[in-house]
Amino acid sequence: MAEKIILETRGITKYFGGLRAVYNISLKLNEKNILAIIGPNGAGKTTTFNLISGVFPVSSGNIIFEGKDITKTNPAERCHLGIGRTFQIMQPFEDMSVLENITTGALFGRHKYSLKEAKQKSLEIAKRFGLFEYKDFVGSKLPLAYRKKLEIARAYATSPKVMLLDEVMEGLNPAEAREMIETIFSLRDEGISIIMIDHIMFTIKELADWVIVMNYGEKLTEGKYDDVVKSKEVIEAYLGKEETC
Amino acid sequence: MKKFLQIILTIIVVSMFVSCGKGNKIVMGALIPLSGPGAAVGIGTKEGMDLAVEEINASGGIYGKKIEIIYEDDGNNPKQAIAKVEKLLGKDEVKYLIGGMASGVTIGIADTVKNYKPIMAWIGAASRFAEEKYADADWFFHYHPWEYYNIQSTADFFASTGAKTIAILFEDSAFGSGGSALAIPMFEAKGFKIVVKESFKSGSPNFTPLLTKVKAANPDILYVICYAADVIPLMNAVKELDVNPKLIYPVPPAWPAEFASMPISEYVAQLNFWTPDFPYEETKKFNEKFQKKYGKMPVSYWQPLGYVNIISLAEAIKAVEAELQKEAGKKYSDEEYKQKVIQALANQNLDTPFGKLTFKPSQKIKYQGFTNWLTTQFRKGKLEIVFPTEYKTADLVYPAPKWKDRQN
Amino acid sequence: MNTFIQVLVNGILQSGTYMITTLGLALAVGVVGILNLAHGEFLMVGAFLSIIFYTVFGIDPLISILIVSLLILLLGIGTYKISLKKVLDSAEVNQLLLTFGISIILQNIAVLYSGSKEVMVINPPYRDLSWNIEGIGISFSKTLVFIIALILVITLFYILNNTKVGKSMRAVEQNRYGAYIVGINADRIFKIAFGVSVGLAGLAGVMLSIILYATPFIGFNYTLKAFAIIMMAGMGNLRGILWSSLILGIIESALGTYVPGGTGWSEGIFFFIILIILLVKPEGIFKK
Repeated sequence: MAEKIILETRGITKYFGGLRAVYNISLKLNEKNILAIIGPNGAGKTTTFNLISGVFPVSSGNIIFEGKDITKTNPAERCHLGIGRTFQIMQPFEDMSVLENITTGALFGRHKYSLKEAKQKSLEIAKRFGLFEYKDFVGSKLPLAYRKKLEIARAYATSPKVMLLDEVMEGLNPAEAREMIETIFSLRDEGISIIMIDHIMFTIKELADWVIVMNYGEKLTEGKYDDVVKSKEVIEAYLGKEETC
Repeated sequence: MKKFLQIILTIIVVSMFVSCGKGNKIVMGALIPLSGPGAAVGIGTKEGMDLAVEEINASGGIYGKKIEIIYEDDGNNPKQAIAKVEKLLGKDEVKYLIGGMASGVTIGIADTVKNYKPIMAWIGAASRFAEEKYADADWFFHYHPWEYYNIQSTADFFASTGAKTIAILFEDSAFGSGGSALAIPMFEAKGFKIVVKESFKSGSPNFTPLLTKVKAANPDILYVICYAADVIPLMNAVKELDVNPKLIYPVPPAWPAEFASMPISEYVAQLNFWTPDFPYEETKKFNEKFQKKYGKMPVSYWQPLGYVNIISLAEAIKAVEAELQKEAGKKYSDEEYKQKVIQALANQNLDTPFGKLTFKPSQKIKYQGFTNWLTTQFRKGKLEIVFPTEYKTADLVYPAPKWKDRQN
Repeated sequence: MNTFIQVLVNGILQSGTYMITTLGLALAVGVVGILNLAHGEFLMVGAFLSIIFYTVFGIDPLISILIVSLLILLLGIGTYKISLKKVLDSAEVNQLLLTFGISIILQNIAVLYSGSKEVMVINPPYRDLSWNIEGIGISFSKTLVFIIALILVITLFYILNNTKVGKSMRAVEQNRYGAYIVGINADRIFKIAFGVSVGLAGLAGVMLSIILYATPFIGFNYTLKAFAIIMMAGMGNLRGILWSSLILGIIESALGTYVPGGTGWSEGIFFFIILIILLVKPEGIFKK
């Protein structure tokens, strides 16, 4: 069964002035797959996410989504096409409640809901992600794990086809991490294709269909998790923290 | 044909050179505010000066020598003024320094000017501190009346009304504070009681708090030392709050042009150096010339004053040039020439739109031009002279009718 | 007692102008993230345009007010597109310099236009209209400004909380990147917000041309006071702007009437307050 490629980058490169942050990154995301990007700090993973979601324009290279070249679109347009993302340093709307945060995603995302519809959808989404009790809490006052859920919930509210999850496991205790793994699987089962950046190896091992390793802005290697972690280069460059709790 | 053209060409080129020669122009340096809050005055002054220059040059200049003015903008800022005056006297080497408005600027440039000692025919400055600075300058001719002249005129006028109490509002820079510091003892000496004495920031348009205070004090006369920009908000607030002194007496150096036609101007009195309705021949002539060139009537005294600045100085230079004309080949050294012009100015007796111009000693300087101030009152959009009575064009209305008793 | 009531009335009415000006600036600073030093100059342009419409076309300011505000809104969008867009993400210093430059340009255009007239005044028939109730003077036009201000505050509040556009503005204000990734075209929002921001300033300017006059230099004072009120109210706090304007208007009025030399103080009071608030409660003293 040939899998369809939903998102692809072809040799994308990013320079900030004279600094080369990301170089010649080519990756393919198949539909309903979970692709993981790992690598040491400063490897360029988040920059790659920023390029894919449109926060930064590429210096060169192309981004293809559902067969169409979207390299020149802005982030809002990409969101409307179906690319959603979370940020590693979370960016909720500080003075809005959890419900309002999610509603904002629903209002402006891929489907143009009315105010009333959006509010309705948001209640459902809040329930789905276990945020219903916190729905009136102000974004800035949530505990960490719930803030992460909010990031995902808000991105989910935009009706994405692809979600970019940036370090969603960081700082979670084992029980919370387990819950997050289930959540990600459930998103995949719904039909959403996922690219995730993370350090927590046991979660990558469980979730990833395919792994890409980055270092110094370049792609070091890629493959299935077991192959990648045995690779000499990867061991030399970096072995992520194994959560031993 | 070719030869003819060559001759014509040569004549043209030679005459160009000849007229470009230094000795054939009379260059004056004018330092006036052309930007910032004083710009209205400076621009008015320039209009008067340009009118005079055009008039003189059109009739051949002074024995063939055309007048040229180099204008520099002092921005009503002493620091800027010093730089500009240095340029005029040092780089441009002008022998005649004209113009002027603010006392602060006049004081600021004094030291620089004294290095060069040009003939300074100055139409600005009213503060006695400026007078002090030039007390030792026998090349300084001051056209504008000093403030103590105007305070005296004001006090005399107030005394003639029978008023007993005065509320004074003054803007808080040198102009207002200096003026009020001078005025208050003079008023008190004449037996007036000062019931309100408050400063405000000029250009700050909210007068309602101060006028609420004035209303509570219920003075006979409201005396306000301010700039043009303050007049309209002041009068608006007076009407809004229904403040009814028997007379309102603002003394800005210039008035906003539209004020006369606004109903709130009615019965407002002020010290005036000049109105277009002055009874002199020269006044009428000036009004016509001004109207012809600019398509509007003059509105502030700075316009005729700028005009007089040039005419007076030109008359003096003309007198010296006339002497030179009598003896062909006679020349004066620069210093001799300068002294001759000073002599001519000192002896001047000129008819101007202000009346007669002569130079006499004031309290501290040798050559003071105009000294008299009149009190005028706005009546139906016109300025009527009401005091001193020998110059009056209408009777003073005092007390002014209360706001609710007026027709407007 | 009469005086006291008059002082209160004066202060309340005066706050109307402050409210309108500050609402505009709050949009620029909060939503667009621009420290717009030229804000007052757009007010000044509004005043000038109102006067031009009246003297050249004979259109009363109360009628031209919408056209003028719209024109200034367009001017704002244009200014944003040409210049401000580029400094959105640079250091605040760049924004201050750029907007300061814009203010100088606008001022000098105005100086060129007004020439030797120091102030430009118009005299619509209701200019001096005022009521006298039990000895308290109340100006018609100032009351009008105050009412318009209240309407604007309420309208803005409604729009920000109950419409899509409003929500997108709040989202952008609270987190620009968050807004982008949920599909809000922040650039378009900035354009609109900045346009409305200076459009409001222009509206205040039209009202000012009725109450007062236009000169090239009236803008700066209002810019500074608007910044002070925003600090006092707290970022994004509309209700705070309402109360802060009222309080500052009344303090200004009371200082001017009761304290000798008070009007000099009342300018300083605004900045004294900024200082205190920055030291003690930088997020503003009013709860959202």
